[in-house]
Amino acid sequence: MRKSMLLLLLIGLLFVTNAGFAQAQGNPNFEINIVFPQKIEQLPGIDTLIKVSIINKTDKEMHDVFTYITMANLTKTWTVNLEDYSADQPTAIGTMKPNEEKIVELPIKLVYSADYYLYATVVSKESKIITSSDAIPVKILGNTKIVPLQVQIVSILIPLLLLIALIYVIKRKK
Amino acid sequence: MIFELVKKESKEHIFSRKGLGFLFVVSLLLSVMSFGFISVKELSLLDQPTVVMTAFRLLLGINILISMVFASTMVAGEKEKGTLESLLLTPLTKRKIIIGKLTAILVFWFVVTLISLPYFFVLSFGTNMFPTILFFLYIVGTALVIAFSSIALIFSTILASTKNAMILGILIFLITLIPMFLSTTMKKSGFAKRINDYSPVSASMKSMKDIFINKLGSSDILVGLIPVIVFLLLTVLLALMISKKVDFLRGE
Repeated sequence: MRKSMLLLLLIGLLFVTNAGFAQAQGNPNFEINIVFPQKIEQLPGIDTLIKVSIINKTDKEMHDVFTYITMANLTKTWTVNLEDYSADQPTAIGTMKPNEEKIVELPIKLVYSADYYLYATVVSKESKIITSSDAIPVKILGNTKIVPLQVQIVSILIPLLLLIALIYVIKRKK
Repeated sequence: MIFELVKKESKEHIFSRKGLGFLFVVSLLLSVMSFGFISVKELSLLDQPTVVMTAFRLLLGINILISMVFASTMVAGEKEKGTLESLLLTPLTKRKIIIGKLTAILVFWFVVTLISLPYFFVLSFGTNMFPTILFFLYIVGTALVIAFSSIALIFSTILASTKNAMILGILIFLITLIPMFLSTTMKKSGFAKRINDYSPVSASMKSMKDIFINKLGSSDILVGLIPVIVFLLLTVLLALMISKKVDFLRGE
């Protein structure tokens, strides 16, 4: 009987731990949304700003808050880097009071043609719970007008001509 | 007389087996890369400015190396073969000899650019990038080729061995390339930052990106190219100053 009681107690404890974990994920400290734009479809080389709204949902001050953009490349299934796109470049927000809302504009550069999901993430040093917004679709249009046949002709013809010249010089010296 | 020297050197570097071999290798590399842009899935996703920039990097890298190989053999090679004496007996001054040899490298570079033009034409087809490509090729590319060739020529003049001149010249070129192998974070501090700020290769790559991707104005591009201009002036001046040292080997 005692053993059964102990077993039930242990199972009960497991549920308590799991419930706490689920609660933390379900109630993030921040609410973050991309206000503008809802969709991007542009040519490479364009710089644009992403307007993001961040709300402190807790009843205490949150310190050292910062936010950044992530761009997931859906074509190549990887994320883009800071050097080319300015993505991942954190923008410091500082301290946010309880229920305070802040609007920030995050810069992003459109570089390589592909389909992406863009989302913003907010982080505070005081909490390990990281909150990300819903993603917006980004399409960087391809501007390639390369004609494959032209490339093939040039790529074969020029080395061929040089090879003929080289063989001619070698034969003449012999 | 200087024209005769340029003609002789150019003939040796362009119409010889070695010269034509180099030209063939350059065209083969450009062909493989161009084929890659239309056939390899990953490369075919790149946009045209990136395609042109990648081809540029390849062309510049190979040609700087080839020009440095030529330049390192120009004086040290003559010393090794014992032909420097006859060159010094001509009415040409030592400075004119150096200018003549640098001009011959320039002629080789122009031949290489002529070979590369069809590639750039087809890779930039349908865009308005071709005039910018010509500017970058003939202004920035030429400046880098002359500057690095001058370095190799300086070592070729000072040292008696072609091999040593080549190794030292290429070593300097590789040092200027360091920022290209470093991450963004590493480039932000210490020794790597210094090299990144002052390296003419880094400056030219950044300017290329500013032209083709960031679409910056000419004043920004010129400011970005200051390290290239300073590097060119310094190396050419030094090569001309060192020209006094063009002399026989000890004991000759």
